[in-house]
Amino acid sequence: MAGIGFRLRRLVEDQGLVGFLTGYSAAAAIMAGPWIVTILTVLGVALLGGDQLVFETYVTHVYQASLILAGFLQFPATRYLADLLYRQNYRAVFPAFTFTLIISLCCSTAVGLCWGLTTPGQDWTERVLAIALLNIITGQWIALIFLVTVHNYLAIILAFTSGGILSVYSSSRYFGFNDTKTILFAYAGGQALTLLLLAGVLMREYPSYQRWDNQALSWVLKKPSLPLAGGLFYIGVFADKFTFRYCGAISESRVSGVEVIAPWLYSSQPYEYLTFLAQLTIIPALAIFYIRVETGFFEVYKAFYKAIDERKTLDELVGIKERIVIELKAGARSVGAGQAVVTLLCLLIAPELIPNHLLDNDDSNLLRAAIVASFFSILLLLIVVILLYFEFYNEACFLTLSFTILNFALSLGSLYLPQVFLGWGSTLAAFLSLGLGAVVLWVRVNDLVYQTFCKAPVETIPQRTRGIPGVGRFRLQKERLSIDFED
Amino acid sequence: MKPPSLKLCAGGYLKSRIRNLIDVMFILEGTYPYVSGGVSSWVHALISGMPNLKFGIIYLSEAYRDDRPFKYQVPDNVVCLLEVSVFDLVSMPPDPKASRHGSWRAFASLAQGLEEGEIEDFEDLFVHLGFGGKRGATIEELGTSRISWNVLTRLYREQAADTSFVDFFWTWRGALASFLQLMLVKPIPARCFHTVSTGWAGLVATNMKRIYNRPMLLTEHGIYTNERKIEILKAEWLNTGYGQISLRRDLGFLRKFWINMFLALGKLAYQYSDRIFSLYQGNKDLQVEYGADPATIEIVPNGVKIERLEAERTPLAARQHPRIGFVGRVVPIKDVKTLILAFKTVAASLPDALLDIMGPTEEDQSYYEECESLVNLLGLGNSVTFHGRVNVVDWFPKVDLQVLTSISEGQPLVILEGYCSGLPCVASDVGSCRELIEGRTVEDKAIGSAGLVTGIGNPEETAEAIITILTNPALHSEMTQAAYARVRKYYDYKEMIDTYRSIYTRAIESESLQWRG
Repeated sequence: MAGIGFRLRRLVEDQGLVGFLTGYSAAAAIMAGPWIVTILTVLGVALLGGDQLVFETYVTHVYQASLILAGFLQFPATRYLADLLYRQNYRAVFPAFTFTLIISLCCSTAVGLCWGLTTPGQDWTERVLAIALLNIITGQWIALIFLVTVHNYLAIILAFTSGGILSVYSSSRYFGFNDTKTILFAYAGGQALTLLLLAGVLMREYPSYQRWDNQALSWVLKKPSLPLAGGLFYIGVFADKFTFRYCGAISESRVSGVEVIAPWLYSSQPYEYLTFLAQLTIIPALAIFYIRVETGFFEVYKAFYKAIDERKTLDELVGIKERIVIELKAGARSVGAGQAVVTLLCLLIAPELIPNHLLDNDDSNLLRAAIVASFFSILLLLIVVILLYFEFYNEACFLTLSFTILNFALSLGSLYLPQVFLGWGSTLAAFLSLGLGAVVLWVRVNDLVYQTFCKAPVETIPQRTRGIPGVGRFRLQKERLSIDFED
Repeated sequence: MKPPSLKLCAGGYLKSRIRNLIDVMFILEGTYPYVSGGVSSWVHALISGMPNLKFGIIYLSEAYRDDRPFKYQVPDNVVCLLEVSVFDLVSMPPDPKASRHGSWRAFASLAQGLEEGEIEDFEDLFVHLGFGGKRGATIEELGTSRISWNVLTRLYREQAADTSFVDFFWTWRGALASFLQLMLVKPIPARCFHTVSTGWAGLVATNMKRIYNRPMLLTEHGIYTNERKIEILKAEWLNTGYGQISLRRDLGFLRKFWINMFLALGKLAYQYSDRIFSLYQGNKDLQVEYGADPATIEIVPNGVKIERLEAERTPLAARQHPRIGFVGRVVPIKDVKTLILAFKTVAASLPDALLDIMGPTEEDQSYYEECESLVNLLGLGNSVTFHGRVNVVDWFPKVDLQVLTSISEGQPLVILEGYCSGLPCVASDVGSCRELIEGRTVEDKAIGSAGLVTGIGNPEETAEAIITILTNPALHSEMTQAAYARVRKYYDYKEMIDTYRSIYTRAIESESLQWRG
């Protein structure tokens, strides 16, 4: 895994400005490539297609729902995949993917049906198309979880690009697609192509004769905090959007642009559009994190567990743990400082770049709040990822739960404050969660040796409580052996 | 003295009124009724020999198994059999309202003590980790807590800083978890508790004695502490995963840890046993060496059923081919090669002599093949026969001399079984062989020698002893008479049963003994 990271690091460190830019651009493409291509596709469809508002509302809802659904499966599937790769059981990877895909499709269909059957007024074809799109996009996320291990980033980006081009091309109004249904159909068709191509890459990389592996999601039951950590993180990320969107009367008076298209299908264009733009500013953090994780951190992380395997002494383990702490501090400095510079720049210039007729004063304020919130929340996500590396599942779950609750509560609270505070509730929630995350990570990593050993549970079997209490099983008992007890 | 109130984990107090009391509760580790062998046969003989007493068995196994078959027909007077796994840990809730701190402290002291080969304060362990009423933490908590981690790392840094930490951790956690688990074995009431080894079984017996304040008896056939020590020093599972240099460096500590732990358990059992029984003087000396009070030790030898093995013996002078018999497993510890080498010399003096090797050969196939090769190499193929497993009742009358060249023995029953048919014996000077051949007490010695004792691994001396006996019919006849007399007087099964019956009667009828802890 470290191969690409080292090449990028060498590029960044040894080959001047061109190398620096090339290295980080490549890392950004690896980390955010599919995301960027998707954004361009949506923009392309929106610009070239017909009924923009309804289509964008559908797409927004579908992406949010699919991220939450896939979020619940992301960490358990990743954990299982790591086990398979550790055991070099490559033939089980594709069956694990198909099983996870089937489960995710069942879940997204169920969610889609819940929405579709309880929403009056919408055309049934539109509903079917929306549910199909939800399934396709959820499937894409699931495929990406498995494809990350392949390191064939070019194939991934090509798959997204091909599907994107098809989506944009076929939904263009110049080809007669004018209503929401046909645009949705065209968009879904392009994304289905992407999903097929991703599955094809996966099948090629991990050939197998087995259909599916029903153990693939065993970690959902083994460690319920693992699915919760992923799902809650995305709920947390969208908590402010949901609050503004669905808090009816309050939001109507405060947040401009909320439009009810159908029950459970709201558009809150300026806010969601601005937060969406703000999230683009975190790409540098992802790129820096990728380079740091792939090189320094991952090496010391591996060294720690290798040292346990190689039966090193306690002092040696503590020594490697100290190196991990140093590496994490350095990583935090790089990611934090690098992203802080980008965020500051964006705060200053981003509102200026958007034409005045598209962005009023309130919107500029919202955009600034969203940029800062994105900065904090990406750092929080990176902390969650590091916690999961060390198998601190409960802590990761606690953090994402805190983030979700804080984001709901503070976003709601901000609705009662003057207009200038709108959006800053979410920023404060991300900031507080980040602070909490930093403390949790610091405490846990400093205590890594204890946590690694003592977290291994003492496995016990339940006591058979019949008769005399205590340890042991009767194999022969001809008479009633009794002790009289009194309270 | 009445024991303190027992607050059991169900939240109640033990009252002294107990129904259906078992007379003798055996605590057995890996033996009767699931595994056949010397100790198991001995336990079976005792239980069968005393049908008027009610017996219970606490059987310690490695892991619970529902389908484990009995190797003996368990007599009707065994009224309960409780299986306790040493390693399958059972989750037990702590005593309500008990403080954790007492348990932490007791746990820390236990951990320190086990490493040093001592259990300083069992009373404290009983109160805070056993059924003493103040158990504030479960095994799971004790194993994973910060306090146990602090104790663990302190001990590690003090005593094993250059040892593999992962090995240290799992060894430590496994050993302590087993200890804590055995402190919580179901307290089945009985009039006395009889353990047939120290170690884990000794710990359970000590705990039962502490709960009911009833006599604890300890009989050792082999010396458990010593056997574990030998086993640990030879154990290959402690050697895996290392190069030679680190192997010596690392495993020194782990071996020391296990040895010290069994030493501590041994001392505990010796300290709390009201009476200790040994098979012979050599074992008694070892028990004293490992911490037993000599005043509590008595020697009660094994007995054999003489009637079953009694047979008329043809005088040596009337035999055309003098026959030498070896009865035992063909394994290195029996040193069959020394016997074959000795027989080469014997065959030079007594060309008609035959050697019959009787016993299973499959246990160590390569050793058996080496023995066969040696026989062929020495040209003894016509005189030496490997018979495999035989019925000794048929074979003892056919041979004129039994030879045992083992490098380690306890009290070999096979010598006594041979004596029942008047078979003299040449044996190496291990275990109680000298006592069995020459006599233990003055009175016993007056009966005369029933054979000759030779050095360990000494084919010349063994051959000389064989030749001396087989070329002297008068001496052979004297030895035959001594063998008959000795086994009848000192090693009769009935005698052994009577001895234990009186031991049990005394223990059962005794008032609650003064608590010695």
